[in-house]
Amino acid sequence: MKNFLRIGLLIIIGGAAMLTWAGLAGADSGQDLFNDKCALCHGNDGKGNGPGAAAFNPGPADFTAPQFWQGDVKNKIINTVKNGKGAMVPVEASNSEIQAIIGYMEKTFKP
Amino acid sequence: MLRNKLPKGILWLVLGGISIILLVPEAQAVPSFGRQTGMSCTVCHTVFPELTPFGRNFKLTGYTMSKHSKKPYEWPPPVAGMFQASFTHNNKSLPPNVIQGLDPQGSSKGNDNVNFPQAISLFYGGRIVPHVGGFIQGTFDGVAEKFFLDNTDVRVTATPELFGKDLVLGITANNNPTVQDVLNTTPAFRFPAASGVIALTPAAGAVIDGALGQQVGGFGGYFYWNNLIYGEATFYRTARSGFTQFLGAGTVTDTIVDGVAPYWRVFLQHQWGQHSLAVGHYGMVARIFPEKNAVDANGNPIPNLFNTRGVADRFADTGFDAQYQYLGRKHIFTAQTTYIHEDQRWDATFAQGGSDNNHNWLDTYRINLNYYYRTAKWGTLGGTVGYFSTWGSRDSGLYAPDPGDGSRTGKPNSDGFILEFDYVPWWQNTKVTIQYTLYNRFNGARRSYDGDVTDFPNRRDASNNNTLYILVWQML
Repeated sequence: MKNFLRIGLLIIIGGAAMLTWAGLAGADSGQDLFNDKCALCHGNDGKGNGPGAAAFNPGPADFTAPQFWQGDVKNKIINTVKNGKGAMVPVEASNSEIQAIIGYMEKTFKP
Repeated sequence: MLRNKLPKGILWLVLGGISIILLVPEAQAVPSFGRQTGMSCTVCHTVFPELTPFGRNFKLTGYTMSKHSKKPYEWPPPVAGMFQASFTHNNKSLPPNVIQGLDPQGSSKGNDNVNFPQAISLFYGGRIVPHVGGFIQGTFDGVAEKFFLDNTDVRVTATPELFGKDLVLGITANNNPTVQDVLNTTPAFRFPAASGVIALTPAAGAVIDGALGQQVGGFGGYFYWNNLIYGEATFYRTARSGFTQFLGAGTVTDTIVDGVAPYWRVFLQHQWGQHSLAVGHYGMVARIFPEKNAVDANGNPIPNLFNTRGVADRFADTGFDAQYQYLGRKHIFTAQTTYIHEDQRWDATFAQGGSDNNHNWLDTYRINLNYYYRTAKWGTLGGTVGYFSTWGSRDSGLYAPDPGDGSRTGKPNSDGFILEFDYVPWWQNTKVTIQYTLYNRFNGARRSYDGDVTDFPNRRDASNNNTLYILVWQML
């Protein structure tokens, strides 16, 4: 009985802590959003060599490659983030977050 | 039943906590791995606990992938929780001796048991410091009403290159052979992930097929090269005493391994676009001391008394497995299969008169096919059809008649199907499962398998153990 009470309290404390962390966690800028949602696979340098890249064959896209920026890139990125592509699953991001990420990518990786 | 004894206040306390977590959008998100990486559940899992290629890579790199990788340690600490509640219905009520064995606390009925909770777990899951991570689970068992160290897998990893390709090198310390495996074909994380706790299951199973969970502690090393080939060797010893004792904390060690039990694993994986295919081999050799046939002054059996030196039984398990996975945007399909052959040398048990034969064998085969349909608005739903079969040597000493869980024929043969429906809502960390297990044969026969009573309708047939199981599984 005491153990169950302790575990129940731990769940409450854990939940409250998660609330706090969630409230404190902010990723407002395009760079922060990119690092949060994209860099694990695409790398902080956008070259497609992040820690998670090895799980994919073919690997994640290299955003520094000129051919990536050909065509309607903005809609291509929006569609890929929302719907996934190949082995990449959709990423949870609002429309404004996606626009911020695109802005950061254009400024940082576009040749 | 724990629910009957539980003050309402505590129950509301727990439910209130769960509600808080569920109702806040950000905190609804994901357990600790997801919080650490910033990824949603669906990046690593098809339907938890089944892993995607990314999830397999995350586990192989020691659970250390993190968006906080520049920090010297993971903060906030990657803790998570789990709550399971279930309902189990058997086609025919279980006999009292079986109930007593499944629930020594005496809280369960012969049928239609609600387990609230079935289990509550706390996890440390994720990066500890650079290159070190772990999956450490502590569980409160709602039936046994005890807290114990559950599946545990702590790793140290490095990721150099070899011949210009990615290489993962790792060391694992764990307490359940195959808990460290990344394919959902081997015993620790195979289908089904959960099943009825107050239900009969076949008597016979290979040692590698779950018998050593939390009974041993092991240390091993592995490599994974070019997302192609995996190799591992891990060595286990008993958790009853010595430096591995902490890995069995809270669990009575009643399967005593003699000396060191080596485990090995290799698999090849090929990935192309949304498809992946893996084929592998695994095995283990374990020498296990049988329980003594000891009695007290009044002639009553003394349980849990073992020799810890001298002659032991020997089990050599050889397994082969394969998994195909297709991860579409909306459609997910997985096929998994495994075959285990066990060579059994009952040197000690035979000498005690506990088996008819000194040398037996036991084979196990499983195949599962699952399909899920994923939508952004409603979540993921689908299910699995699984077939299982166990067969082996006849031995009336090992498989003797006994009401409910015995064998009339002395054969271990059991086979049947498991049908499971799963729904994971759009917030992703809740799973609702409806599962039905159908037995064709049970402990060696279809009719009157236990040998207790042979006349209809009083006999117990294999189909009497068909089980309906409904589970709500909440990750926190």
